[in-house]
Amino acid sequence: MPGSQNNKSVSNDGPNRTDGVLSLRRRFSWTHVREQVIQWILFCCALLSVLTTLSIIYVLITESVYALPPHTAFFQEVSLREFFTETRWTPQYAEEQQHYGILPLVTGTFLITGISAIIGLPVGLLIAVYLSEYASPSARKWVKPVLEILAGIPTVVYGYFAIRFLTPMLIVPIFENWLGMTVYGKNALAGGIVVGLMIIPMVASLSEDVMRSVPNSLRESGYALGSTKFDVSAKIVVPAALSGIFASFLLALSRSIGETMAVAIASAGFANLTLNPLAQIQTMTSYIVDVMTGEVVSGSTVEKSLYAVALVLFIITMIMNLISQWVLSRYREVYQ
Amino acid sequence: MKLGDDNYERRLIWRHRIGQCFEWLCRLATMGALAMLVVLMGSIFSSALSPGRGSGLAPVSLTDTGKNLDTQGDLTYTVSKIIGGDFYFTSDPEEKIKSFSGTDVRGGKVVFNHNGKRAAPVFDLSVSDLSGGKEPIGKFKEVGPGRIPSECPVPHVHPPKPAKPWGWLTWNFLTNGNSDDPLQAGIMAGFWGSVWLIGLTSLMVVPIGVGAALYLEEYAKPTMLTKFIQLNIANLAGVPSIVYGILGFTVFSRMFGAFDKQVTVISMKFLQFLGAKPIDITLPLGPVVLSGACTLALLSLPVVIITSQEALRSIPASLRHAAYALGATKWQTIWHQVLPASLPGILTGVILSLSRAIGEAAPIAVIGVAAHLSFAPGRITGISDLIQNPDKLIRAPFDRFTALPTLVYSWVNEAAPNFEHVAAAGIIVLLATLLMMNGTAILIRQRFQQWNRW
Repeated sequence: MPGSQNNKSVSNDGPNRTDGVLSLRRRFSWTHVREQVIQWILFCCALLSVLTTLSIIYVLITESVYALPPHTAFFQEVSLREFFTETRWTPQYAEEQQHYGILPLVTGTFLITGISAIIGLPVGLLIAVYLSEYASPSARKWVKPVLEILAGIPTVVYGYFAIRFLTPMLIVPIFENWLGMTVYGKNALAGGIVVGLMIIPMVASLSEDVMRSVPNSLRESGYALGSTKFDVSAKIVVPAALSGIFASFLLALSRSIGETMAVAIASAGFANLTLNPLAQIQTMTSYIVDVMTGEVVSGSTVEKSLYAVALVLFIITMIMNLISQWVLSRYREVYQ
Repeated sequence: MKLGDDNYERRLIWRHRIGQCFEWLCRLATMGALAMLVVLMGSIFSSALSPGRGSGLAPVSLTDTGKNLDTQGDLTYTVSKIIGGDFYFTSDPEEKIKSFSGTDVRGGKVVFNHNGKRAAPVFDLSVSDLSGGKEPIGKFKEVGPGRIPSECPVPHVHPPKPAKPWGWLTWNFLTNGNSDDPLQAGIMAGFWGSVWLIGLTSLMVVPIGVGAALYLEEYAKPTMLTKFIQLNIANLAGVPSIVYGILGFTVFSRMFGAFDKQVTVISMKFLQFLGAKPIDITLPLGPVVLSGACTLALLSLPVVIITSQEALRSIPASLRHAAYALGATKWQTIWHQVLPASLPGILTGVILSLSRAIGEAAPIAVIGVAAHLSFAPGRITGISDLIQNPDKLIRAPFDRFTALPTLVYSWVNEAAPNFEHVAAAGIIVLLATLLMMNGTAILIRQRFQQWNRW
């Protein structure tokens, strides 16, 4: 807490300096006031993050759950029952045909997340094992920066890659020309693949960190018992780092749930309750972008639905982040 | 050890093989990820450098001069000689054009496809009457850019805009504003919008982020409140950027809908001696640079705090103890010793997280930024313009804007052909900007590392 850093008066017959530079006595001095003021200012800076969280919650709640009487919030217009059980999401239609069932958006989101998890998590984990167990220091020296580049590429670029390269050059030839399925120009598969690409560096670097923090004594005891390198990495290091790996998986999944632009470009068309990866889908994030970049009437149900969707998104990612934070902090306690 | 036990040896060999396979699998995964990066970059560059074939643009258009529109259907145009470049109809991209009749001319225009040769298309075209057939009405000779034959009776031939050696990433692209025509569309407005965003965001996020990190690392006792703030920051770092967009839209752009119409709150008149009009600041802010910068500041704040904390944590305690021993107060120690020592780490973290934030299209698109702008924030056109009207510098944060990633997003989503090449060129500018920022971060890290005294 601020204000707890008072200068203790050490002794009464210390140097009685009155020029305000340093006083060992508890007496009024500008230096002391300045120190306190600075501490309070810094405390306010730190408190701003709490304020951000509170204002996110406030904004989402007032628009979706409860609004002061002259206005009505989303859930005062659409029942919770409809929101969670209705299978159609059609806010773009005329008033009487509008349905607000979040199920199609949630399926869309989890379809993308699922595809990205199938691609991103194993590859990321394998890269982490390679970097922490197999790679020579020189190889690690240039693989890590390249992974950082991969992580730093803006998501619109991945979206462009998906819709201009993956879909026409990879997905259409394989699934439509070869296997004879119907592929939409915007499909969940392309979006899922690029989101998977996006989470690879994240999984790799987080998992590598936890694997490297597994104490060497564990590896050495493995070798002493006659294990091969594969035994040590797959049966000792990975299980020992499992909780950290799990946390990195959760963080990556929460990132792919919240991923917006790549999905909006590559996959998002209309809300579609389907698990077909070759069809158009709509995710929670891309619905928000879709509506906000178009014309939206201020105060309409459509606008309020954005906040309701954002609230669901916020809660899901928040829970996943909290769990992974908890797992990571417990993991740190075990090995450090 | 059972020598001579075949089973045991076979098991050993298999274990070895499995290990080898696993190692190669790991290598393959790494190589695959790196190869993906190469493919990604390759697809972008090849698209930006390709001149845009088969999409109906880079057109040759015949524009009617106003004479004899009715008789156009009776005319046959014969390409008598192609001197440079080939041309195809948009309707049938496979067939080379040798001749076309007036019925292909719609609204005085016929659109060809340019096959992608870099040279400016030059060709001879004779126009003949259907009835006469043999008698050419006029003849176009070696029509090149800007060389429209003076004696042509019916249409003018506008040769396609020549594809430049640098493909779509041309000087025009860098200096033009956005446009509906892919040949004219440029990135200038987006680039300056992003520059303003970077500047304003870092002005806000650096003092607040470093301040918060200082409090948490240097002052805070491990109380429940500190733990809560710490957890909260870690969580905020994982909140999807679109949620920050919604927050920025509601709080900064729309201001909770508290204002029914635009209300002028401040009217700055102090620059009037320069002949400037008073600068009115109206609320709600709307989709202006300032609301975008505030949104990005909130978005990047948690990451800046976390990286600054790490930088502060790497400063050895002996440095602080030495300063205290010399009688420095806490703040004197921080200001004169800890901050300068941790500056490279902090700056690197700040720049890296800012470059992440600048690449985010979602929050900027959500606060209501229009992509179809053709001016830089504040309508600043150049340095001379800025010297004449310094008030534009204050106007700019309150002006509408567009940013690099939002422009790219709008181009990628554009249905009109050839915008994919424009988008690719835009992506290269965006990546170059980010690369410049990251390069600065590396430079700072190397330059300041010499200062470290331990």
